[in-house]
Amino acid sequence: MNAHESIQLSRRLLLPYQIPEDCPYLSEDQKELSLLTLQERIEWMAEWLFLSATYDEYLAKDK
Amino acid sequence: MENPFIQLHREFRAAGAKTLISSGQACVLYGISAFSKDGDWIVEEKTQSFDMILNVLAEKGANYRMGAPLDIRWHRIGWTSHFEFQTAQGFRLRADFCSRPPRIHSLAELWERAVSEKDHDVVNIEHLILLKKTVRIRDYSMIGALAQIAGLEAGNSEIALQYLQDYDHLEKAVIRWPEEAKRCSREAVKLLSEGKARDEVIAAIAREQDESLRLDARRVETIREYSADLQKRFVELKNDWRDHKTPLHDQHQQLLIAAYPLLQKVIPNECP
Repeated sequence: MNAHESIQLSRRLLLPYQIPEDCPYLSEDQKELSLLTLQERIEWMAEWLFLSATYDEYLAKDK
Repeated sequence: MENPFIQLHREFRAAGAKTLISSGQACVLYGISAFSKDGDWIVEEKTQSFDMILNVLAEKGANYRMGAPLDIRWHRIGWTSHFEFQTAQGFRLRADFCSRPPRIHSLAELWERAVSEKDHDVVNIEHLILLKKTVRIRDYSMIGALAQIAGLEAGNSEIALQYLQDYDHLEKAVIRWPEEAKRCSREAVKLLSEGKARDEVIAAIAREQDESLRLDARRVETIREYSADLQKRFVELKNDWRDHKTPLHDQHQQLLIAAYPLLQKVIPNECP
């Protein structure tokens, strides 16, 4: 694979795509994520971080 | 809501540092991982990039975690640097940096094949697969997923045959690309081409994973051994920095001295 093909292949995965139903490697969350645009994936990640920080804070208060 | 990892990457770029988003965050961008708490960046091996990153992190009030100084002299022999800071949104963000990522032998190709978008630059799929050959078994699911999507689904025989991690999909790849499979050096692919039993193919995939796991485990252990003395000193430094609220640039100067002996130790970069 040359550099151009390799970059094109990578770029395709930055666009929304469908993970096959028979994929044995990924969870439903991941299958949902791949359908999003790049910007939506970035926002999804930010939401996860916010929820994680909130949960950590809750655990810290509980101690 | 602003994504702090992407925001940080933009700031590196704006400051003139050339970096690539790698590992877990790259998996999120490529849509195969839902979440990653750490940010990993590959840094261009130029002094300016290292200096600019340190400046950006200093402005954030970042602190060093155990590792080498963010300096080209350590990084070009395989050492890595680690930081953490509180973001404006209240997250404790961990940021890790290297310039010689494990299992990647051509830096020129790594940079030539990187994918640059409006707001970020990310390692390409082939290199991400190599980076994921770690000591963590869950990373092999990521490799398998990338091989299914970028290989089998996208019609790329090379990626599919080299990296699929389960029997059923690898068998499909061998049936679809018989000539390429015959030329492939991977043991599991050879066995499938020769019509060997499922058990033998599965065992070959497992052996291959185990070899990669052990290779990375040896690398991690070597780093631990080489940095054992620094680890002790780092605990003292960390306590002192916390007590005196030492700014990052001052931490950096002290770490340059403490980590000086590491310059005699090159981190091995074997490829499975």
